[in-house]
Amino acid sequence: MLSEAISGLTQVFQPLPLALMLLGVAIGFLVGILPGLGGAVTLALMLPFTFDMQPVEAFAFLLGMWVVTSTTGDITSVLFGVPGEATSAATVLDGHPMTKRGEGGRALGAVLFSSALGAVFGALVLALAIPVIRPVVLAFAPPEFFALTMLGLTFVVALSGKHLLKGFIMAAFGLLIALVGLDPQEGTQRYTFEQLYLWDGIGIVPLVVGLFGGAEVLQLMLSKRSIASADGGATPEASLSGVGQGIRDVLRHWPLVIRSSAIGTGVGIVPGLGGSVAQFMAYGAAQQSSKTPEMFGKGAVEGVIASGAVNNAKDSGSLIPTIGFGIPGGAGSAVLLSAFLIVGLNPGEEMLTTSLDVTFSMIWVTVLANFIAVAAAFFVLKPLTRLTFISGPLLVPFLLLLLALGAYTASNSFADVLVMIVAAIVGVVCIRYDWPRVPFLLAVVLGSLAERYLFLSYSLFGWDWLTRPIVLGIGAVMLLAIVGPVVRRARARSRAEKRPEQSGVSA
Amino acid sequence: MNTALPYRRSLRTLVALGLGAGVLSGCSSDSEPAASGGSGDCSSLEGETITIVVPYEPGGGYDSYTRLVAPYIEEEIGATIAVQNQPGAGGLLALNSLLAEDADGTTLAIMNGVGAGGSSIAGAEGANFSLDDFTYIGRVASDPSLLVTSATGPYQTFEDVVAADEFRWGSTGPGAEDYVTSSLISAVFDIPGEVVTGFPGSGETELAVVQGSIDGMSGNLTSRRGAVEDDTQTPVLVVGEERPDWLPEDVPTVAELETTEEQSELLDAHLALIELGRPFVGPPGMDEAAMSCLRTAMAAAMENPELVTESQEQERELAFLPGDELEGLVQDLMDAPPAYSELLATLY
Amino acid sequence: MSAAESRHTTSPARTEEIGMADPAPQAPSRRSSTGAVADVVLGLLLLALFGWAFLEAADWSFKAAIFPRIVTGLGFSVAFLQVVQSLLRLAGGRRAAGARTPVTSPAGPIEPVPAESVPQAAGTTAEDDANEDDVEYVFQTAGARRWTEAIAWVTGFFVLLYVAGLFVTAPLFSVLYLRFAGKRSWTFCAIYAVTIGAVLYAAFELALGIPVPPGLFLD
Repeated sequence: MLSEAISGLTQVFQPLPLALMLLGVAIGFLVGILPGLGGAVTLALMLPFTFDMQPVEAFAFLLGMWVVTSTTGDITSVLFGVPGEATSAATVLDGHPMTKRGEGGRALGAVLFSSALGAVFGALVLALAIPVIRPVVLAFAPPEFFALTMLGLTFVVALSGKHLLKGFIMAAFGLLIALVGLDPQEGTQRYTFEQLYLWDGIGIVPLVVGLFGGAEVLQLMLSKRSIASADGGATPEASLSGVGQGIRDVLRHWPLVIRSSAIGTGVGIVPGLGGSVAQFMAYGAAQQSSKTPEMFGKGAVEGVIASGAVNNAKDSGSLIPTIGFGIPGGAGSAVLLSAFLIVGLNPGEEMLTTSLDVTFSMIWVTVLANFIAVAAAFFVLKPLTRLTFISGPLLVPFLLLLLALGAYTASNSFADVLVMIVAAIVGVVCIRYDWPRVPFLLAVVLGSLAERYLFLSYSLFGWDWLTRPIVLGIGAVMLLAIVGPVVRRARARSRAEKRPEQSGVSA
Repeated sequence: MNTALPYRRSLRTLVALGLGAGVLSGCSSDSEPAASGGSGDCSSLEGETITIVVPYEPGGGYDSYTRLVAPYIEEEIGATIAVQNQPGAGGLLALNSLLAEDADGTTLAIMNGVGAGGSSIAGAEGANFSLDDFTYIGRVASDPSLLVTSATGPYQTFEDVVAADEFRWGSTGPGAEDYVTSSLISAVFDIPGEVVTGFPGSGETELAVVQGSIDGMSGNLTSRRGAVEDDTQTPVLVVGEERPDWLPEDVPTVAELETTEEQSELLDAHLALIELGRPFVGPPGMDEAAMSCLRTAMAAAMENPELVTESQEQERELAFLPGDELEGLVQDLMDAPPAYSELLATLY
Repeated sequence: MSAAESRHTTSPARTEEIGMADPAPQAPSRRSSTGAVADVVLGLLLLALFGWAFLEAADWSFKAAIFPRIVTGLGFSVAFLQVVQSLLRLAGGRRAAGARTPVTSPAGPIEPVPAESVPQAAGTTAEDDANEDDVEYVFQTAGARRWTEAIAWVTGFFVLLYVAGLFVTAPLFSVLYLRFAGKRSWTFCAIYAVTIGAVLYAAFELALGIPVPPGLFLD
């Protein structure tokens, strides 16, 4: 196995694959910055160019492009509050507030560096998983997927902040939105209002772009100031000098990086869950374990680190079922699967035996491309950070166009733009009246999956699915995830009761 | 009923036709471009932008086929071709809106024969078109299905499947190709069983087959190749005209099965639907000159040796059928026995 | 968050800069009651939504309806609780308003665990600068005129986008917005507009070939 690992590396370090990887990284870099235009779409557009390539060349090009989009998607999230990808929404929550108070450099340093570490972690897991890849994939069936979606939903508790009741309402609202469309078992139309557009449900990309980006742009229009606050002595130079601090933050919070990467890789393996779920699971977990959970959503560097690491770790995770069985773990790896066929590789046993060196070259590419992208990003950090210090109205037309395009490219329909506008209204109302947005989004993402997998679990296994070992294990983790914060709340409350005036009506 | 089928595949596989693999009547052709529209005067389209709408997300089979073929047609016509993805309502949205497009040849779409055609025949909600509404340019690929079972399960041949006490299919949901084909086979061969619906995609369905938690599924023939060669899925029946050479000889096609007349009527109609495959279609009543230009150009493009090589490299098998023959096929489908559309109506 | 709020209200310099109406010291109590009223209103809206969605599921088959029933049923109950709680608070707040100034919970009068964050937030003040909840702050304090203006611009943008398509909207909106909302010179507006139009055209039309909103006339 070691010799294949080395052979994979030397195959990547040939002039042509290396050049193609750089080209891929460059394309992915730009595409990641454009909101809406996701990695999967770009892969599909670039697929025809790989027809004449050798396997290693093709994967250097495609993988290089793909893994980079999740890194650069975080950049717009941090700087403008407009997620570059649906998977970069969690980065907005803390990254953007940091930018506003003049710490954009620190936030970017943290998110980029933790992205790189996350990628390395994911690649390491992928490499180590090779001997057991097939049994691991086979151990996950709808009951396990369902348990994972439920685990994801328990993070509603953590992500609701102080407003638990509001959090639950928003989560129920999100689940309701997830129900729009044809029902998965019988094709009944639910809440579709006779609109064909709604048959496939509400698109996640327009929703994310509106929910997070819309509010930021409106705020910029209202205040007419620059994004980063000029008072308090924040300057572009001061902000940029924070990059180093961001990197140190990441090193200081290394257990967080590992845990978030592990969540990313784990969720990535599961077909169908994907990055939009993983980011919030990692974010919620980071908040739960933080010493200052109340700072989350207001610019906690831990939130930025978690969402950076999880994003890049999940890519390697979703390659695991693709390589092992030819079953894609997400939209991006589904397109990569066609690339396998184009270059004449059969995913499955072959990738783990005779073509093992190609598998390793893929792992090397994910690591290398990430490092190159992060290095390149540090290079353009300066001009980008400066943008947040220029006058707000200058950015407004540009950002409005980004919002519109980000939504429209989801399915090339103006209805996507309407969804984005409605989501933006929801986002603004949530912020204005202090209702939590994140449980809503989490529930939208998880809702339809939860229903599907619940019914599938029952159809396939009857009630026996409840006793499957992995399901029980995830159940135990869920219990901990719920009990933990409750205990903490209770403790905080008993502290608070020492100050009689504060004990609210709710107690 | 069983007449010879059009065969002009310059492609990788030609399996023995067997005992009249064909079911379709009336269409015989050779490799010449469709002669119908004369020489194909392209003056109205030259320099224009022709949009080919793909009713699905980028990266899927329909998308890849369209992007594969488009540059070669572009070359023939001297127009620019833009491939646009317009997903929605399982592919119906784009076809519904194609009805209202200008019929000057600048807007085309690639159609999912089984999905969209089936919905239309079944009178399903959402399909606001009849199959004979569209102008048929030519078929890019046929779309046969392969029934597979779990390699570790008790059913390793189609006879096992038919004899099963309870056979469980996996499917994404009603109206999807996998649902229609497996339900139809179940109904025709009286296989007791159920279709477990709700899988988010064919990847997850496959995983369940490999894990053995469902007994089998129906899926796109070429996409199953990897799994069949990897021995994680056992092929049991080709729901299509011919068996590719990578499948073992003992895997029958539908036509090779012994059937009663009633059964073969239903199967024939369904095979005609499958034979419709993935055609390029245009809005109703397309301008004569534009239609003949597009038909001629597509016929010539599909013969282009570079395209043929490229499609082989990608393992995307082409199966061109000229537009006028597709029209005949559609007519056959419109005349299909009522039992067929009644059966389909229960599946959408 | 509350610590930051009170800090904002004592910062007249920022106030002017933002151009909002009145950040006067009486704001907290008034704001707390508008917040509670908004919570009641939003709660009722969602209550109605869940109720409607629950009834809507009546026509569906059991399999299609069971999950929506559970979701909307739960949503209805929680929203009901929330409305009751907000009303109680509103009543309680009115009574107490004369007696004390609710320093601790201006933004969220409904928080179940009110005191938790206060000491910590105060402890971290030195590090977290005044901007930490800027968005909430701006939304809460921007005057009616600013809101009207901003919403009018946004509405105009999307209507223009729908009618005229991206490649018209991008330069046109840029010029209008920068000239009249941004108060920039015509030259500057023209350069901005041409650049943004050209970049978008090059990226989407020429390089990527990805469709953009075409407008009504260019379909």
